[in-house]
Amino acid sequence: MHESDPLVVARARGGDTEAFRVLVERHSRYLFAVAHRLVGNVEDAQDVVQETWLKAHRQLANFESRADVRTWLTRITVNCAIDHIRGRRYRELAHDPADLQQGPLSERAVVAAPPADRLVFGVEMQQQLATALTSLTTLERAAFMLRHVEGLSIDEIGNALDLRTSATKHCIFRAVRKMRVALASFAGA
Amino acid sequence: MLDYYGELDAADRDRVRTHLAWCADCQHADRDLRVTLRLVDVAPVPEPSESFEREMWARIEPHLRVEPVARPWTVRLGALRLRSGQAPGGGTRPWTRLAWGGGVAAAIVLAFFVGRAGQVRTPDAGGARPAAFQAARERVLDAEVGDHFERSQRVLTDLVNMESATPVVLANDQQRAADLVASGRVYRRTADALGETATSELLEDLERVLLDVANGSAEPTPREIESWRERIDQQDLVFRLRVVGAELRRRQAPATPAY
Repeated sequence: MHESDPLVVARARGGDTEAFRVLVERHSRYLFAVAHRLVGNVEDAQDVVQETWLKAHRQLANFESRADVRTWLTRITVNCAIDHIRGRRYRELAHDPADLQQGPLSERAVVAAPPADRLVFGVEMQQQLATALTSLTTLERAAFMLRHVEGLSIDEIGNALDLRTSATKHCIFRAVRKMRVALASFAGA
Repeated sequence: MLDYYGELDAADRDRVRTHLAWCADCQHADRDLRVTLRLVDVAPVPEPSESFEREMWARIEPHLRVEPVARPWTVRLGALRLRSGQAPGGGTRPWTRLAWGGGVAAAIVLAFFVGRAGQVRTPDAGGARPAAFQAARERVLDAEVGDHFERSQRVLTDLVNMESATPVVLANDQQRAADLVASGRVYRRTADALGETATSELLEDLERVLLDVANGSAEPTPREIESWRERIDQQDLVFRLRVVGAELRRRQAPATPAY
């Protein structure tokens, strides 16, 4: 019988390791997807998921039984991903003022987009999308995904990533601009 | 983009939409932007292997020996020391060579967890515990965190005043920063447990900067030093450390007798 998440959490809070394992089996795959969107590679995403579970285990006592377990875990994952990103030293790339003064969009092809007639929606578009995402710096990707996927406000993202509001906006602008260039063929189709 | 995400205030939103109503170029750009952002929603995520959940469990299970609730304070203390420097995958981060610093901090705040563990085992004990005991516990935290802030302030002041034009070697400062990160985390947990929100927030802000210093290059570039300075200034960290440190010292001072 499928036991509901709150019941499993209640057992885990009582020290039932097997119950905690049930949570790990139920939610790890989803949390991996969340982490991957933010950190952008498989190894780091796995580390983030691992850290998420360790933190969740420590915080079980604080979990409110009325809350949604997956939402709670997602929030921990986002925080762990942010900590992970902070620990990496890519920040200077996103802070480069020269990057803010680059030329118009048409002159800034970050990812060489194949001609439109060679592309079809589907697998190729997803590949192009994946390539476009890898063209973002860690910070651009995190800021953009926190805004676009997690729905955090600019201020919240700035606080999370230790950026001023203007820097946060520029970070997301740059990410969107790169995405637009990379996906121009599809967006116009 | 800000309009798409609902980040504009009413006046700016009206201005943008009025402009969009007549400007064909911007209409086109706006449409492209919206299509692009919708495409992102279908961004692929690599599918982990079929054994992903099993592997994940194998990675975390060894660290779950300590029960999360109602465990004896001796175990809680051990867990705190373990967590201070634990890296994903069971390895240790570079600064765990100084995990003992966190361990010492954990030992110092032991008094709080003795109290908390007692409360977990016997829920009524907390209410019956003399107020003086609680006050004594808080004074220990105040003293230790005050000292932590003072040491952190010295590290940050050194960074702020560093001559960025000449090459510098930060090995010693990095060790100090790593030590402070380890102990700061323990203090932060304690402050959280005691509901000391302001102290906890300051400890968290401090930790971010110290972590960057500890994990940064031992021979930072002028730009890196400048970036640390900016962050310290932007968050008024030195000033806040002074203010909160002074408040903690004030709280430790014996109350003046009323007679």
